[in-house]
Amino acid sequence: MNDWVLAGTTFVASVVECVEAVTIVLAVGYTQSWRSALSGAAWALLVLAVIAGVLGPALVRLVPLHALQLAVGLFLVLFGYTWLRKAIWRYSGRKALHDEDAIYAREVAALEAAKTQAHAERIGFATSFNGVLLEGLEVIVIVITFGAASIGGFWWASAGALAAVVLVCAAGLALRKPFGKVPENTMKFVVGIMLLSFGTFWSGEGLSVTWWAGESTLPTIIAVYLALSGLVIATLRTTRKPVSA
Amino acid sequence: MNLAEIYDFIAGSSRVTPLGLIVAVLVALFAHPFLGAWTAPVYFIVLAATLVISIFEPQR
Repeated sequence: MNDWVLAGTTFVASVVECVEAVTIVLAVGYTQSWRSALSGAAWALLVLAVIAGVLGPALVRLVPLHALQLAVGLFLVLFGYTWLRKAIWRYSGRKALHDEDAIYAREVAALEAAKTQAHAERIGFATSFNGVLLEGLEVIVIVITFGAASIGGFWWASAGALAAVVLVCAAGLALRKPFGKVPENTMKFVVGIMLLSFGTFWSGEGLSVTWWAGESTLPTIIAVYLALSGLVIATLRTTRKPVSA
Repeated sequence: MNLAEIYDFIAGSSRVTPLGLIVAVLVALFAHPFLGAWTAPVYFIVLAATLVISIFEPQR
């Protein structure tokens, strides 16, 4: 079951990041040129593929599984906290929801202003390259860490991420506009829960903690984090504070 | 990327989550002789409590 859960988690995380990257590429394409937008994205994807292809298998081969599970688990716990906290704040109204249409409008305005400059083409390339690279970096970190902490996990995690890239790129090509209706916060919430749960389980294994039901403890961990998050959201909603961006 | 940005990328500018993680690791490493089979539940409770506390931490 864990392999499918790994692939599913990286798939959802990748969809979220790809949606954000495609928004930037579309903004560059419509305001500068499709050549700079697509070449910037292609170079960034190449860099990300090299990072994942070199680092992932190298980690698995060179570092013992127990040590990897500890390092990766602790990292995933921190990473999971970050994703989940933001999603909870957004659900409870303490943080503004991610608005792809607004981000697209902001990017377009910035690129329109740069259009008159001498190196507009290069600015378009750099915007597209940086956008895809930065959004993709989080996915690569998740793929590498998931892949490193479980046998065969790297291929499942990579498959999940690759499927998301293909799906979102195809949707972006078909729609040719930002994905304003994607339930990004729900997806971030799910990814946050999964990262934190896997991180908790693997870091425990790395620390030689004996889980009370072995691998079957993982669903319990997921359920407890879900219930706890629901409780916190309900509490925060009753004591609303001003929204921060 | 400077160190502050790397920290922000991983821990999202929270001060509570790294501390909670350190406490959980210390529990797992050193409290095992006293806690026995309760080490795993206590480790999990510390991590879960860290999540809750960090959500109420002021946003920076």
